[in-house]
Amino acid sequence: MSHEKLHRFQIALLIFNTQTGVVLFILPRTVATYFGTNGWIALIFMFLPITLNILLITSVYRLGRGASIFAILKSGIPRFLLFPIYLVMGSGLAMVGCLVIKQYVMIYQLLIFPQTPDIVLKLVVDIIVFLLVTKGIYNISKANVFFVALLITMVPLSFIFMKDFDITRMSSFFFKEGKDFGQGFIKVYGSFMGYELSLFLFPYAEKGKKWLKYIHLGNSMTVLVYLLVTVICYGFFNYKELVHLSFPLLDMFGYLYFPFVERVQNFLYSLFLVSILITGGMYYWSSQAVFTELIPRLPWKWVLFFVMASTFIVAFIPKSLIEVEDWFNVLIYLQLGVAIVIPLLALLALLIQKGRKRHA
Amino acid sequence: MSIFSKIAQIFDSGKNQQEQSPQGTKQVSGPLSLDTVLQEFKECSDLTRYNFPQLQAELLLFEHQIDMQIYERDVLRPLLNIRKEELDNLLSQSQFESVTETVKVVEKILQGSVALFVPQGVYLVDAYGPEKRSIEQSQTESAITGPHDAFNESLETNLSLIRQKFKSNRLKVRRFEVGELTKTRVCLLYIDGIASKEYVDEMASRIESIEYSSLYDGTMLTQLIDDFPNSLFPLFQTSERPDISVSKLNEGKIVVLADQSPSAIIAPSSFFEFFTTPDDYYNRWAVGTALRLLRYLAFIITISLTSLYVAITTYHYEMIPENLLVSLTESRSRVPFPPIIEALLMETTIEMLREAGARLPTKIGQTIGIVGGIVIGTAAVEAGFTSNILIISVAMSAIASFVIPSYVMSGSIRLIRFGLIILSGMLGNFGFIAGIALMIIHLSKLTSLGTPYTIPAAPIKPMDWKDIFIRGPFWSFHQRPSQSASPNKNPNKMKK
Repeated sequence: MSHEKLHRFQIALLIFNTQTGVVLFILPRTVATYFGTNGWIALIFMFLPITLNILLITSVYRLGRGASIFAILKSGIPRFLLFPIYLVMGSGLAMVGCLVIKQYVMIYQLLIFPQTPDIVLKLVVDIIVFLLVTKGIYNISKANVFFVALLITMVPLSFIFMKDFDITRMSSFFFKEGKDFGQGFIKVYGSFMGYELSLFLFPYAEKGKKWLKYIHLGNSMTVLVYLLVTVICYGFFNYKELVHLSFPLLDMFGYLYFPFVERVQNFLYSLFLVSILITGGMYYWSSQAVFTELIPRLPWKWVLFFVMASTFIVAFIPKSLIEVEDWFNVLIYLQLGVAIVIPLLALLALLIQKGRKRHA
Repeated sequence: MSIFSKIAQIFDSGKNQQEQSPQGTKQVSGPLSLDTVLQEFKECSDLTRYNFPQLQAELLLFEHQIDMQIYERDVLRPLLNIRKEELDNLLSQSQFESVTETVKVVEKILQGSVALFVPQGVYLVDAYGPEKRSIEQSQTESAITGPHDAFNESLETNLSLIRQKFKSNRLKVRRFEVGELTKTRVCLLYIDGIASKEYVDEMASRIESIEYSSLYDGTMLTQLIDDFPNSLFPLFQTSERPDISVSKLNEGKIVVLADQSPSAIIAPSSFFEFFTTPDDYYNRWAVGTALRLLRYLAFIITISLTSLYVAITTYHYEMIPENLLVSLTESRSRVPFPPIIEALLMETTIEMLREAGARLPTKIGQTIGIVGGIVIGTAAVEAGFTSNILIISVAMSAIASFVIPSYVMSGSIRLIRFGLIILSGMLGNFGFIAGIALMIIHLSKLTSLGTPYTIPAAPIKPMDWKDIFIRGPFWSFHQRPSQSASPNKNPNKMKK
């Protein structure tokens, strides 16, 4: 029978869909708040550090000759040191997955179901995510192809706004009236998070190094979509208006009308569920991979169940979207840790391993 | 001995008894003789026995199982025209097969052989040829252009239909027998050098491992050998048309034919193949492509239209434009049920009409259509039982479901529609998208003969798209579908 490997283009789509999520609805506001006029240019600047970060991750794959990140770390770093790292990493990744879903359902509750407890909606999404993740990474990537196809249908809709796009709203100033560039960079960097999960895909990808380029492709797709949305929002509204809009993209979609249907923002936001399933699902899958490394005797589906069940309980704590955003502000640092520190640790482990071999 | 071991013994003894008396042909003991065989067929009044006193010969046969012409030519006439001394000469002819086991004689008589009992021994002559339906058009897969012949219930006829279209010794046929009681003959067809050996062996082992007493049809066989028996979706394509089987064989796929069934199984199959028909290839490619796209559109309409109606009229009235809103609220205002009940009621009615129409003779079926479509539809709206926009939506969904060429797939999709309506009624657009996501997740998991069911969309195989999402021109077909994993990729070149 066919022995499936993750097709490289599927990896690109997986990275793209893990990166995009609810953040797309908030991004124009974030960019406008922190970078002010023509803040969308910050996204282009962001491309460089992220590309460097991806190069760091891919160098681990190249030097480790395709071994899994856990095998590399284990080969050079003592287990007692790895244990707390895995524990923090696994819990952090699971919390990111949980909060991504929590944020989505809270916005949903705000927009459509004000009387339904958000936790009920979260339970529904969690069940779907659980069913998705238990199918394994190959099937997640296959489902993701269809999910991306559904999301891509939204891209042509953006061009409908071209007639309302006014270049004068963009202003001729750059980065004026913004606040706290440092914080802004971290927030925007956080909106690109998701590519770091490629660390866990090493054993599942095709053999060879070709697929590594496709992580960049996935990231480039994200940058393009973010740019498209942000630029259109800047030209449709203006940066001052954007600062005051909670979900600029949804407000923009609110102007859409067709002969049979109008005010489609609710439907389009519902469609974004498929992106949330992948973002949440991939973080839960990665968390499960880390915890399975810690408790190899427990079947991975049970590990996933316990991880999801415990984060579900934690999800009761944040009561508002602002609280969720505050939690995210903390978790961004953990994500950065996974994206930068873990590959550096892996490179160190490879160096130690090489040194040992030389002595032997 | 403890009570538990006694109970275990009782169960074990029961099991042993069962093993000793299987459901199928009884294990006959004793030497082969006319009496033992007759004993086996005790109370089988349809068994025919002929006596030739001058030759001391006896014949046993089931007349309805045999071809009378073969019987007369190979058995009856020679026996009537020879003397006793010439019997040895006759029995040395190739059609006479000597047997020594009672079990085999019993089995062969059941399979249409004539058993000849003479002092020299027992001989069998294969004269199988029961009455069969002539070759007709398929009722479920009607053809507009292209060949109109369809498989019937005779395995031999079906094999001949394929051989007529595929004159190559590379077409191989493996034979199996399935069902302890029915002993249904099953043939596995593939093209040597084009079909993947791995898939052929896998399919053969699946057929061999079937443990089921009765097999009546090919569509039943698919459920016994497919990868996910509990899935709603058919995992193997079935077809009554020989041209489909032949084209699939040429793509490197495997075809399985079962005796007494007009349905050929094609494996492995992809979800998207259920939306293709051979007519696409008999039309100009642009027309074929348009038809294919129309079918995908029909698929989207059939699963989404009623669900979206329910979602919008339950939770998202703001999505309806003002002009439409007036007529919709007017029509909905008289309906005493929530949209989900209204929709389920109408969908169930449509399904009942469809089922009644399918079971009844054509003329009465038409009447049912008129009664259902005009009387119930109009009356239901006038009585304030349902809104007229829902009637339009339900009718469009039903029509769209029949655009899907595979009847089995169309049934699965219609059932999924009910799930989506319920989810939409519960959670609006969110429920609808959640249902779609669940369907996609389920589809992604499925495999057909171990190959991904959603190929070539996922895993992505762009080279196959021109023969799945569209019907590309013939010159663009440079390779066989990836799903076949054919050792010979080029469809226009046969390796020696």
